[in-house]
Amino acid sequence: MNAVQEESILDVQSIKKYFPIKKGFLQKTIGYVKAVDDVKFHIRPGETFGLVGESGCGKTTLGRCILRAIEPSSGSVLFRDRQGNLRDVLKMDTKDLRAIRRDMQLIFQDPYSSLNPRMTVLSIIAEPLVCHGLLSGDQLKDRVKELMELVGLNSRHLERYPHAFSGGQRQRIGIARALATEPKFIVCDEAVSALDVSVQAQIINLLQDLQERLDLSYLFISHDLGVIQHISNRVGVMYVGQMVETASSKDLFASPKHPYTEALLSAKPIPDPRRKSNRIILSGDVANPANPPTGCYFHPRCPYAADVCRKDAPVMKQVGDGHYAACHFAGELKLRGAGSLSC
Amino acid sequence: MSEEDEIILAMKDVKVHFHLDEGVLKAVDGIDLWIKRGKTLGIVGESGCGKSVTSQALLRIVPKPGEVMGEIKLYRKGKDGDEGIDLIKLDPRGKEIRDIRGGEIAMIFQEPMKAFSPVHTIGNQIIEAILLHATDDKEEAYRLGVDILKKVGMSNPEQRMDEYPHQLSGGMRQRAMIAMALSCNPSILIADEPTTALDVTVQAQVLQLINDLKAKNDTSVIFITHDLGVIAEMSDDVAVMYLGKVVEYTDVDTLFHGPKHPYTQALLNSIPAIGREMKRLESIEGTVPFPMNLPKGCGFYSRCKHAMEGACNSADIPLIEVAKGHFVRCLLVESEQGTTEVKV
Amino acid sequence: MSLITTISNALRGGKPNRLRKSQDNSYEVASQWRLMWWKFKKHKVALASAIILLFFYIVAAFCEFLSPNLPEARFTEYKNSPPQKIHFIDPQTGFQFRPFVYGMSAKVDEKTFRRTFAPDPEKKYEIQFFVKGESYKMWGLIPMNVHLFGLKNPKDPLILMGTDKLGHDLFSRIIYGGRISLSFGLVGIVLTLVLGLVLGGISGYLGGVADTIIQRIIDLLICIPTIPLWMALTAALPKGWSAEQTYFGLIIIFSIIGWTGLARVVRGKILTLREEDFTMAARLAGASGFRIIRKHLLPSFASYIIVNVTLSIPGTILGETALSFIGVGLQAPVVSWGVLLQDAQNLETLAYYPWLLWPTAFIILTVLMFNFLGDGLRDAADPYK
Repeated sequence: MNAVQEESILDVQSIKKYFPIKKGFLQKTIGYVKAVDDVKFHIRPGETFGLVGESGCGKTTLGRCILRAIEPSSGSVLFRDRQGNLRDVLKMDTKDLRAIRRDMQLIFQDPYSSLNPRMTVLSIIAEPLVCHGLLSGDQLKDRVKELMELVGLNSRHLERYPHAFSGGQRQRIGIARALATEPKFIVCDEAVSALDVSVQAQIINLLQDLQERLDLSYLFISHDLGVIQHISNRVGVMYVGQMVETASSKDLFASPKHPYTEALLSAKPIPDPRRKSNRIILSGDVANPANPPTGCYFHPRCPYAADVCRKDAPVMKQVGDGHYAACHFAGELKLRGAGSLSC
Repeated sequence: MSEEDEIILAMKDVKVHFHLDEGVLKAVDGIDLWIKRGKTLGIVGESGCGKSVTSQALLRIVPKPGEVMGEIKLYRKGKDGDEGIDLIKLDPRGKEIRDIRGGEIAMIFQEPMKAFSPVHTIGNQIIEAILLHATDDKEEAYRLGVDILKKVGMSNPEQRMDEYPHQLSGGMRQRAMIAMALSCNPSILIADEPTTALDVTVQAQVLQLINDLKAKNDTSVIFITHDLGVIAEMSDDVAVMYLGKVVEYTDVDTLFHGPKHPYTQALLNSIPAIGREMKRLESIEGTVPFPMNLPKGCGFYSRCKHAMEGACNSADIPLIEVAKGHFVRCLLVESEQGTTEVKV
Repeated sequence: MSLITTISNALRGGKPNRLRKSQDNSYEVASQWRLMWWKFKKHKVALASAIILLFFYIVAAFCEFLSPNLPEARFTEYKNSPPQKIHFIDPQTGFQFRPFVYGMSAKVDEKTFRRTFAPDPEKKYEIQFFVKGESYKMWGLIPMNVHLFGLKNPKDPLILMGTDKLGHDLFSRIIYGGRISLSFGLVGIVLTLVLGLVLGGISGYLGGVADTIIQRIIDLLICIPTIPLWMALTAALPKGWSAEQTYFGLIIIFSIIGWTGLARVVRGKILTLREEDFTMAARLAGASGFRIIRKHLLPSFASYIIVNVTLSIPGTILGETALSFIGVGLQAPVVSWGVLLQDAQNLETLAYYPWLLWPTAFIILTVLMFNFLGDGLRDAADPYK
């Protein structure tokens, strides 16, 4: 067991999720969509790991594979349980898995479809407690009230149905449900993307407060670089199923080492008309994960691509303290970070 | 507002009310806006503020049971000294408004997939638009179609003409959509959240395209979005909307560097932006009220930090010109400035 | 109203108190069923249909008491007699509150030998309420002889919708026939519902091979034209079966063919619901498969099933009518609307005795009402749109 594992709450190793592409009458498998392809990272207790990437890059699939909401193809997810042992979530049987789900939860993107409209707030938030057989009767009700107040909801609205709440309030209900069993680790899957700007700020603040009070670790998945930078301690950038760069939030935004990260940073419009950037406009679209290009997946759009990029796939290499990038020229290119965009 | 700017569309006290069983939903409740030639007006606001309904009112495509009131004067090109034509007076199904739609004013939507018919090729749909407004010659229309696809940066436009919308990627579809909107050289392009469904790298491409086309064709753009970053990037003037009303209207630089309305200020402080270190985001408490049976006074009253009981919630707040071309709908500004009420 | 609320309360596991307690700020705490009811209420036609159907079913349930005559009672003097008119004004004594009818006197046409009837003012029969008439057994159990209305002497004719060629009172027979025809729709749907839910549920929830097999069976059953299949299966029913046995035999036949539509709806709904975020949330909360089905899936598509069932009841009723009409379904002396229509099979009867078509009116009305009701329910089925 190495030093990284020693301290982390979650250690994801070489996780892969391939969806078979089936065709024809006999449903023969003719290929695979490599939604998540050999991704490694770890999360320390009390830390927020931001996962950023464009749609279809596999960040949501990765989040769900870690929770085994969908079954990964291979790899291992080591998770520290209440006894302090690192255990592989992917090797657990149904019973152990149900038990460990007390400790790892998910907050969904869509505050509308993630709450059953036919259940009261009480029964929605109470569901994890009931399923794990933790509380019942008045104790259960008291705990739900406590949770509602924790996330800033009026605990008198216990008997209301989700349709009586706004998007932001619904997201709070979802957060209360995730917190019900006192988990240590929460996957926030685009948890604020569907919300209005002003409400988004409320929820981000709430998530940060909760992290401080309850010592939570987050895997924060988002496509919004601004949100990621604000909330994360460390950040991973994904492109077509692969992790292309991981670094501390500060390093990544100040001096990215992968051309894709640089392009992402420069593409994000900045809410300041005096800082109109000279953009790096990438040509083309995100590669199709069912039929990715040879070599480095990013080479058709990369302004720095050379011959080696077309032939060989790059491997993750260390380019700084805790800073890794999967680029043949990582560390050699002079790339612009977010700071240098100001004029 | 500077006098040298040529105004081509003026909205005066435009209201859109939906009469529902439960009451009157005031989606847009009296807004005054001007669109200048070759300039981009950004409309920003949260969901439900009426920004999309405003654009629908311009094209008279407000869904039933919506009722549009007020005055929208369109000054058509090539008709100097024209008094302008009031779009609200037109029959929403009449020939005149159909000529204006697509011809004078074109629109691009958030979901290009929904705006295209899935059973016709891109080419067919663009040609149809051209035949309706620009020419009667089919071959000429085809040539124009290929041209416009080339202009919006589509690779092999001839091949794209024969493809169906689902064969294109999201960014390409949005380009095709823009191509269709621009095919008849409109003087006003309404872009309703055109990049919200796109990835950042593709969004950057589309925003650049719209800016390039605007500069080349001297088109005016109404850009509707909730993303302040995009607003900063795209607009010359910005209108901030809240609950069906314009709360602040000014040029883009003033908006981001000297906002006056508490809502605008709070909104700007609530976005986590790259390169801005913040320990905590400033959030606006509560949620946007449902725009039905609203209490009197300022719509932002219930969430405003500076709200004054008895003043802000007693009567409707007028839109005040606090500096040249800078309009704010707030009593705080009025008391410190002492300026006169604006007459439009 | 009561139909929907009863079903809904039953499905909710019976918590009607909570609904009543919180009527003031009710929108926030309105359950699915309450929202559906509010939406359904706006559909006035459907509401009226529900009330009419409810009335029909009450009449059918108490047909022994409500019909003035027994279905097998024959007025030998009044074969193929036209309906009597109800009068309130006696030319001799003037207006009276108690309605009365005139007896008929028959006249034989000398050329065609056809009998024609004319009201005979000499024979005045007053209609009595809660009158003691022919004795019957309520629901086949309780011996009674009180009828809601009738004539003092049950041998005297009260034929409000005419008689058939044997002198049976058509009005009473339609009421009795309603019991068979209307109940056939409801009882028939029960087995269909069970089959559709179980097979559709397996198909959708398990997927894989089970899904493929069930889907292919459905495809096969849908290909076969229904009327010939019904006929073939009914012909296979043993001739010696009693009326009840044939009734249930027919129901089984209808269910064997009819479950396919419902199974498809159930499967489709399960497939979409399985992908909903809240189902995944429940799974991540540690819910068992059974709990997910019971707490999340079933309540979510219960409303769609009610709609589907409502819309397929008239099909069953029509099927029974069709089979009985062509003579392979239920047989006389059983009385159903289809059996009654057997008398109206030729043009001659229709020309001379048009009142024999009365059952058609009730069939059309019932089917129409069910379709309106189903329409209204369908609009209300998803109150969260």
